[in-house]
Amino acid sequence: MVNTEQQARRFQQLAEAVVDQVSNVIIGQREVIRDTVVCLISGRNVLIEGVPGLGKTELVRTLARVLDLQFSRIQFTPDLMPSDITGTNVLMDGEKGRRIFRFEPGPIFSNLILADEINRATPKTQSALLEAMQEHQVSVAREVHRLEPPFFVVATQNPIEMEGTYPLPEAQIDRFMFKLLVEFPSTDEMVKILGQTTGATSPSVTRIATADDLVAMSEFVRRITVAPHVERYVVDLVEATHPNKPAAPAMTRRYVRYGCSPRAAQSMVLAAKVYALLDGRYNAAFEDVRAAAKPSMRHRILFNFEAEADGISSENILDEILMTTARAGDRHS
Amino acid sequence: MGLYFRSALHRFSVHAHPMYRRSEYSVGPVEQRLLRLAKRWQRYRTFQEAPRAFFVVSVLSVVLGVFSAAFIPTALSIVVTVLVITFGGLTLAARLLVVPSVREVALAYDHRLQLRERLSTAVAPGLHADPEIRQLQQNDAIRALDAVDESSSFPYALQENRKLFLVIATGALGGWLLVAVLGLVPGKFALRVGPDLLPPAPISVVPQTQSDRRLPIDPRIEQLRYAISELQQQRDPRAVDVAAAFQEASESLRLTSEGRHIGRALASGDYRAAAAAIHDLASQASGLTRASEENLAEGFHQAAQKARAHDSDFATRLESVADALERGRVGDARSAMDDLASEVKSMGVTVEANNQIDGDVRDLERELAAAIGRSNVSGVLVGSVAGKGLSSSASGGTLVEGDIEALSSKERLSVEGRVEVVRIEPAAEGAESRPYRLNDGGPSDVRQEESYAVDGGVAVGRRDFSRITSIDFLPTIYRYFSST
Repeated sequence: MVNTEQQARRFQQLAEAVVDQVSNVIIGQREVIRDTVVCLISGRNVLIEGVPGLGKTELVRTLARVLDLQFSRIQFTPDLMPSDITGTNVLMDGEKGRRIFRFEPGPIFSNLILADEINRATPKTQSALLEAMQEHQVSVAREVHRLEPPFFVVATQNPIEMEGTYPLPEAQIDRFMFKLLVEFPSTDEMVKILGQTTGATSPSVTRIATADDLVAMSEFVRRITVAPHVERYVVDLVEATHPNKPAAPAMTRRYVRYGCSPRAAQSMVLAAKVYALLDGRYNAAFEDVRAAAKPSMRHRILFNFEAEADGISSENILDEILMTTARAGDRHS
Repeated sequence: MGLYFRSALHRFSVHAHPMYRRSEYSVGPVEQRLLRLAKRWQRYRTFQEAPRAFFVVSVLSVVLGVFSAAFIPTALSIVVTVLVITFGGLTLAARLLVVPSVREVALAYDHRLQLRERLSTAVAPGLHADPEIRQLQQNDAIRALDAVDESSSFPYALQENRKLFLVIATGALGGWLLVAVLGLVPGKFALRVGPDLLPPAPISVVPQTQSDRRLPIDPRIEQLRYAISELQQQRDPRAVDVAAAFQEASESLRLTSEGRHIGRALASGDYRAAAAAIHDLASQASGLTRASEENLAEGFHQAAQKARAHDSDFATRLESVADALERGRVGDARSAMDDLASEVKSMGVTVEANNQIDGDVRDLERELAAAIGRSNVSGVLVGSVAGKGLSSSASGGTLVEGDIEALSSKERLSVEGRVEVVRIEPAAEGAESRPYRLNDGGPSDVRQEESYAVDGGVAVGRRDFSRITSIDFLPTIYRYFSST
């Protein structure tokens, strides 16, 4: 038990140190950094959305360095082919002059994949990531190639320049644990960024953890306790996104075509466990679930035409759901 | 009960044979501590809820008491109030006896002290958790509980709004009981008499020889004048013209064989019968011969021409019947006759009411003349100071017989707000004289037994709200609902 307690303490220290290290390089995005780390610890993928120049790519690159992970960056373009990602069989000269096919792994064979501007590639190429993201394997020419753990995909997309883009299919977007929004930094943060990026020296980054640490943390998280009433709250939140469920608030019924999948609930529970450990607890709380609710559900809600016409976003719906969904013990306030 | 049951099971699990010690009934360390905290939480919760509950019960009991006072004796309404309060008190006491479950206490502590579900997770049943993590979580919960200061977290102190609830509830309840016990809330309706709807000074007949004679006044004359003027205001000026129109029309209609009944009824002033006769004619319209129709049409034409000088609406309706009959349109004629019958019926009511008022006015004018004559000749009616207790007959007047409470409902003043006249018969000669209470339960400066009416009388008035309304509201009611 002492060992378990030490593990928990080391988990907390490592995670906080990683967030601190990355925050030294990426100014003013501490919450995005923390949530990205939460996804990596949970062993899941993350989608980051923000306008160009906010440091999305740099965030992932820095994370790879801090966690000592093998890093690959794939720039998604319309002419990118699936084999450019997964790799392909190439004809090679073998022994005794025979010619043989040999599998040449693509950039996906890394620990941390940055799928930059993922919505610029065609659906065919986007779907090349599906198998890798869910099953951590790649099938090429009827041959299955395992991806070594840890394996994460961090995808980025630009919300404003939509011409020539291909929106991610629902099946793919559901495989991202969180969708994180990178906000424009404040004035003070901008001043700090200028000082840091235009000077003679850049902030140094120290390796904090290894890939093995990350795998161990990922396994440890799953041992954290979640009480039935907290799990029930998670289910209630997910059900509140479905317009045909009795718990759905008025906004959901009016604007939502289809609600979140069960993966949203899994994401919330996993993230709540990580938040609990970061807070020094061994149990997930309602507040942990609430903190994970928006990043877990915002990309999993399908809107109808009325919502588009009225300019309703998933943030509006989720605010309403979080406000109206009751928790056990609320009546004691 | 839950607390004692669980504690008993816990004692059993501790002292029992080892094979039972780890039974599902064993109480964990967090649960044990929460069981101890349950009473504090229970008392705190009841303490916080009690003012609001007391407020609701008090307001409910006061409202029930006040309303029931209008229908049942005051003593019974006090009993109703006390019963409601007792029921509320018992409910609160019962709530104190029921100990909440451990889970409920855990949720309450988690929520109130921001313990991030440490306690409710520690006592959650059926958790499939890693045993080591479960143990660490329980230790964490105990540490959180150790840091809890019960007295500051759940103080026995009332918040400001709850204090306000208490003050309002106590004030309402105390005020009501005080008013009810002191008999300030009367229990039934009564009359209010006088020109200004407030009782005049007590009237008594004082012999001219009495030494403490006051300035001569005659309140009876004032009463009669007031009654006449009130009644004249009730008259509908159109009714005179309508009556004349009915009379004119009746003459022409009587000349036709089919309209004879209608004409006679109109002439005799029996407007209901006239309306019924018109209805009958309408129902028989399809059976009329062409000659009868033309004859009847001519009668209605003439009636319309004569009535037009007095009431054009009535004349127009007569004309409609005449036109329809002249053109042989039976359906239209029947419809027009039905309209005419309704008009005769409704206007007849107005005419009858006017006739009744005219009769009353004539009677009152005769009484007024007699009263003026009496005051000039013999006894003098004076307004005397209350409390003299003059109950014997005096020269020039006779004490009124009978109590107003004994009068039939038709004789009593209307309780529907309309001004009405009530005649009070003088006492039969030789009958025992009894005081007549003009104002039963009025303002406290006029006591019931001091008010008398003399020599028969007339009372003009309307419903007395003071018997059913809180004293504070009386000025408002008189301002908006009184005709004076």
